[in-house]
Amino acid sequence: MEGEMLKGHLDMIVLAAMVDRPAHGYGVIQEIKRRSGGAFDLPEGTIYPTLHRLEKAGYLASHWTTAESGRKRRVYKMTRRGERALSDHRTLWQRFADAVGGLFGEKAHAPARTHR
Amino acid sequence: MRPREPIADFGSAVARELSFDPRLARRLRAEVEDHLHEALEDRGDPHGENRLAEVMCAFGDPRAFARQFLATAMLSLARRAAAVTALGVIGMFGAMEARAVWYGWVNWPVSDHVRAANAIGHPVDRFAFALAAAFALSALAYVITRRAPARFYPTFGWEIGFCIKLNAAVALALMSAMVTELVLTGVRLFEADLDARALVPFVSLMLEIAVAGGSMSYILIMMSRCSRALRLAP
Repeated sequence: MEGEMLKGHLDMIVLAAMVDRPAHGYGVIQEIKRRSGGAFDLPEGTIYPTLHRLEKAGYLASHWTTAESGRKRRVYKMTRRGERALSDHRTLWQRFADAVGGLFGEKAHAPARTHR
Repeated sequence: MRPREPIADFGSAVARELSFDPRLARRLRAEVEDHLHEALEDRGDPHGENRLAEVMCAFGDPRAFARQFLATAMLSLARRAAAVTALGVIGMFGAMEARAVWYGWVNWPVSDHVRAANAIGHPVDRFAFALAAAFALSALAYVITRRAPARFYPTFGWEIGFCIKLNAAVALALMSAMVTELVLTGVRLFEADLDARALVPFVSLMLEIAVAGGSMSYILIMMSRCSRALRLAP
């Protein structure tokens, strides 16, 4: 999928990937890949500015933990505000998808116009 | 070569690029290193150099990665600078007021010399302080209304630079007010008997020196960080 197209919806994609459980940066990327069936394969470094931005906006909270490997790990968790934002995004997206679907559907069934 | 070293080097490169914000640099270094280690473990053969190159390539260039944080980090620097100078103005005002109230409360004697010094010094002091307060308010309002863009652009760098300069003006005005207060209080203390009553003017003056000096040092640090950050700009 086009990178630019994805970037415009990255906040929503990241929030959606974290809806079930807290995750660290790499975990979020893996979850996005898994749930999109590999369609969303972002450059891995692009996820961190989004995570930091969402945290600053109060949609995520984060803390340090120690991974099984013994490494320091920053884990992000969705906040109530984040849940509300995701719900709003979902509604908006549904409306948009319905509208675009309608347009495409109309176009597919409409007779071809000719300009003379 | 063991994989840990290139990953640590990559983490250091990220931290170096973000050295203008040490807290952010430390945090991202740990996050990036953890990410790369895990990605490498996930791909199997953690000692394979090809795998390592693949993992680093998937992550992206350290400089390009750091650049993505430039706008938010610079705005954060400007906000911190504005908050510190605003606190400086409040602290200075508190110290000045405390001293004035104390002089009245203990009926501090005012000699002709003190009166003459006050006639010149007070307007200068008031003007400098009013200027500091006005600049601090403007800087706060300016920085609060700024939003970090998704991508850094030169005009945004100019806006942040302008905000830091406004804060530098606050610090300079606070320094001027502090120097005037130092002279006026010095004249007063020089002519008075130095007993316990002198403690409040002395301590409040020390507080003013600390506040003005601290604000100035902080702004100089922020200016240097800002210019380092701008080196990362595209």
